Amino acid sequence: MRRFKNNYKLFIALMTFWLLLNMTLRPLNLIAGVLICLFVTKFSEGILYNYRGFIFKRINIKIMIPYTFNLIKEIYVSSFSYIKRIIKKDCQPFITEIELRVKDPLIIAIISNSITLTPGTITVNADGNKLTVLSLKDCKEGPETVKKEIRENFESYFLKG
Amino acid sequence: MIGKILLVVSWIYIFFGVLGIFRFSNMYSRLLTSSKIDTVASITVMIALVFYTGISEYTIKLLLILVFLLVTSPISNHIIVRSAYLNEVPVNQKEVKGWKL
Repeated sequence: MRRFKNNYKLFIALMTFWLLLNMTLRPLNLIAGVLICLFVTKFSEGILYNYRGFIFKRINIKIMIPYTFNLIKEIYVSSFSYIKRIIKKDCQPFITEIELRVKDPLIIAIISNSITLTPGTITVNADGNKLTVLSLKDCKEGPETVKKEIRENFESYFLKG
Repeated sequence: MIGKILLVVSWIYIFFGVLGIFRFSNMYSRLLTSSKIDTVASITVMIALVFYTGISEYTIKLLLILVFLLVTSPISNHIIVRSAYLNEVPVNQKEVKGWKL
């Protein structure tokens, strides 16, 4: 019970998500929601939170809103260039390593996810702030362009804040 | 109208994604192409459906699913590529073994 008191925020967030997805207040639905949310909250211990509360620092919403719009823009811009690459078939994939300047694990996870969401690049591994990225972008210009794009399009947002 | 256009755009993305999977012979290239369908096409389908349904309770559901997709869909791609990389599948491999290309 004491543990649950520490982590009620996660439970409320999950329950809100459940209710918004189901849009119904039927008892069976509510019981199922409560059970699943309790289950997820229990197994998130040590990953998302500990006895002090959430492990990760909250990210400024003023950074996340423009970042999300920029991410969606990047996804579409890259998708067009990737379609060209599929038609021309002029490229072989390569792996490159990039060392980020940000140190926060949550921000590194967000950047890694964004790299994978962008067509033509996938994050293979993350070791601290060093990311291993698989890419099929700009084969002529090489890995430097990929590193520059990641720094300018994703990392720069978090360095400003 | 916008919803229909976006649905057609998503079909184009899916078509080129499938075409890419058959055109590329390297395993990593194929994974990169399949992840493209996962992200761009699914996001476009969701946005198209938001326009298609108009403002209703489904809009909230669709936007929630879109957020959920944005957060979770890269994980599966990441795990597949990571397992291939850790199993030392060569990046410059010309053909996938056992596949008639």
